[in-house]
Amino acid sequence: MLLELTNVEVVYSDVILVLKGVNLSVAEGHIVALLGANGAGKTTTLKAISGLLRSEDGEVTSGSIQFQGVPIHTEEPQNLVRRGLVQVVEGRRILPHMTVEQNLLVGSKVLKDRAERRQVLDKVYGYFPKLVNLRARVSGYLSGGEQQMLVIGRALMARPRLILLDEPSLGLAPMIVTEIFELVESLRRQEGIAFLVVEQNANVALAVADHGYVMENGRIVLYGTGPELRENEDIKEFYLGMSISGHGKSFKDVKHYKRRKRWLG
Amino acid sequence: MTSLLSQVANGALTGLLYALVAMSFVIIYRSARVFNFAQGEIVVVGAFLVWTLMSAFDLPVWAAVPLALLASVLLGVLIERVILRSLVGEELFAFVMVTIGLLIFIRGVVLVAWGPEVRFFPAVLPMAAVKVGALVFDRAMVIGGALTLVVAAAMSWFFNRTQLGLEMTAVAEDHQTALSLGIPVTRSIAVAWGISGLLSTVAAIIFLNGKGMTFLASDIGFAALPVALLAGLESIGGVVLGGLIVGIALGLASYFLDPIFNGGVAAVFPFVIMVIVLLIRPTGLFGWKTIERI
Amino acid sequence: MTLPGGVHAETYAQDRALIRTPWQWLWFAAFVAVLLLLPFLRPGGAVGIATVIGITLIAVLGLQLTSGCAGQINMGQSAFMGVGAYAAGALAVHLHWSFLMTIPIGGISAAVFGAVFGLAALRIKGFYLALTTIAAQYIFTFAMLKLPKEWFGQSEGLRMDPAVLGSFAFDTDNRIYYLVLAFAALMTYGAWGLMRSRTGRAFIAVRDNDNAAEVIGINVFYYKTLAFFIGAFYAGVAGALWAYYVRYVQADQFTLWLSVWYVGMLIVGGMGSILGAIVGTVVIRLLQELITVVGPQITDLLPTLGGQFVFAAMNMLLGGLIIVFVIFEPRGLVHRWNIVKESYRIWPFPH
Repeated sequence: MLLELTNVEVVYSDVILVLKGVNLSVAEGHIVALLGANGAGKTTTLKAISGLLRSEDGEVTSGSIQFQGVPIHTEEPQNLVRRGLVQVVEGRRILPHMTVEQNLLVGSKVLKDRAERRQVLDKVYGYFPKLVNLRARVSGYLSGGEQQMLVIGRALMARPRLILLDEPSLGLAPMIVTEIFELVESLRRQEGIAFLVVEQNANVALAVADHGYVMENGRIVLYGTGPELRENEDIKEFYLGMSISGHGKSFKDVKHYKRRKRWLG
Repeated sequence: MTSLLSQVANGALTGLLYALVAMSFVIIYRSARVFNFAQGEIVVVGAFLVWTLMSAFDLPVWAAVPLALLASVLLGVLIERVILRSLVGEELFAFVMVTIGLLIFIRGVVLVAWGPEVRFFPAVLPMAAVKVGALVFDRAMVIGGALTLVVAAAMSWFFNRTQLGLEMTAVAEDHQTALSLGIPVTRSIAVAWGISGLLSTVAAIIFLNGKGMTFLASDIGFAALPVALLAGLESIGGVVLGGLIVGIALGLASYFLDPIFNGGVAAVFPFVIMVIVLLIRPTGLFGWKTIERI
Repeated sequence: MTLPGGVHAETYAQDRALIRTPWQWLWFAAFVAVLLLLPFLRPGGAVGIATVIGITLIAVLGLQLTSGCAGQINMGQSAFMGVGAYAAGALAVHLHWSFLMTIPIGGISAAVFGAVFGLAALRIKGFYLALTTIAAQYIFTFAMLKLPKEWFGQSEGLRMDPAVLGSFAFDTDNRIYYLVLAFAALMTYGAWGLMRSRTGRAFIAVRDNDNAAEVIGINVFYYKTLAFFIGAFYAGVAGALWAYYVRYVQADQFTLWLSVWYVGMLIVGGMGSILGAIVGTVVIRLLQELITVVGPQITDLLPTLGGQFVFAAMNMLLGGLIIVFVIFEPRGLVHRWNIVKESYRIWPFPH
């Protein structure tokens, strides 16, 4: 396994238990979707893996996180990037006062020399032809879709084996979202990069995912392959917004939902 | 006429010196988002280091100056490691207060270590005046002005072209994003404090070359403030331009206004320009405009 | 504010009261009695120190309102104080107005000067604002030294007669002490009331997030200006009292360094609370006095150190104190005291 989480517990500020024993794994070259409601602990899971948790006073208190067979939950983020694990943080965090090309180059911290940077840069431009014309543009003025392309491109600059992608669809038009997920799929196919994608938009995510996990209240409550999950009645009902009978929801359904949730959680 | 020209030209040189000090503010602000109120005191520490090595230990210039520069780099790094490191993620107010505390503390240390007496700062740079036509310049200031331009060009290149510089700019933009890209944020900040300490001592040498000095030389820190703010706290090139604007305005103001007010315009005029500019452009002429969201 | 067990407010009047328990009444009464009787208990030096503390307290209270409550960093409090001192001084010297007029007018002059920076605060934020207020200092010094000599005496300053009420002159240390005490009490009460009022809550909203405050209908422009206006008014009153205390006004008395100290007092006491301003002022001022008294004795014992060593050591001590407070106790002494009090009340159960 490329990435393996076993019984991971995360505590913020020494008191708030956010993850209550998460088990999850990502195989080499796979796309794995992590679904769940707001506050379920998806983003915390990603930050626990990438080491960004510590900058927010969070801590992995038990369990283990292994990347390529090596325990990493005490590693600094910079060493993880070096090993090929990059997180794309939620909310399209471009560096707004720097140009597109500068943004990309900042991502290439771990590369050896200028020649290598050039080479990877050209490759990234190959995947994002739109960015070539924008290379000298100050990135703060790009559109939302372009910014999302830029942050994914920036993550690619580190030549990662695994990218943790946090809500790439946030606030983007459906067409752009589809485009981004097609890109994720082709990056996996051509570069063999694995993805762990956190998404609210279960539909698009499950369309490309090999596997998927559903989180509730800091626990994994469902696991399955992409097609399995898409066919799962609960997923359909809770995340894809289709009720079983195909009609609108009634109070009875809401009660049913709560009961199911209790059972799942 | 010559006198006006001389005032303006000398004003421009003074402006460039302020720009050098302002640059040491800006470099810290760019990476750590901290405005170091104690910068003036660091200039004084640098000055006393040079003085001690040359006058008390009798070291030659070629040994004393590099040693002092090295020591001031270490001082900057030390401050970052001991004090600011533990404040990462705190509110703006904490940084204002801690650097004010630092200002008071370092002044105390300077007084304990070197006392309040007037010392003669050694002539590290040649003293002979530079004459251009009828204009006369302090040679150290001319060298300093040229040095400021070179340093600014080098810093601009460093922050926009080199990998380390780009990474430090990324740190200035957003600590967490920088972290997620594998950039060691605290190391970048320490490097910035080191560079800033170095520039402070260079500024001290130019400013005080062959003159009498006391701990009050730290006022140059506040004098350089308007230049840093006028330019905006992020822009290296802007600082040079800001320095020239302030310096030339200073020269003009001294020439036209000093006879009216009996002198002393030079101390207040940069602040007046600064307030006016900030009212029009709240992040300075070349500073990063922030997009605030609720 | 948490209260001891068993104390509950049953009416609005009770809920608004500042003093709630018999013990609080007792302590308060004892405190007032000590303040009133101080000249009889400890005549001489203590009265002078208490007077300076009272004047400083008024200035620091003002800074607490501007910076601690409304979140607008102000490094010009000393200049605002100077404006008040000069305004009161000039009116008293040239027009022979009574202090009952000159002190409030001194306050208002300072307030108007300060409000200019409040106007700037709408656009200029954070570090830029802090540094802009430093400009107040330079502009103040320049103006006072350069304006016509008939107004403010330029570098000679203004010499003043004591404050007079009818035939009673506040010309001794004890008399001026009572005058300062009265003003300090009044201004403290005013600050307390302000913080608990609608205005105080608006200040806090502006401090925590000015954009969000604007959205919920708080006029940010008005409250930022008001915060500077009121804060500088306090400074102006303090400056005017200072003028009547030392009976001499000169620009060199009001330095940037003094503003820095005021901010330091707030940090040590605690931002955002009136009690914090009081504690910070008293603790730092007493420390300064202590060093002034003990210092010469140390230099007598160890003459090699030299006189300036002690005062330099004072800077190191207090600068170090501020750094330590920001790092380890950013909410100040009052916060620490509340924690101690709370844990005593609920002992032995920690939560």
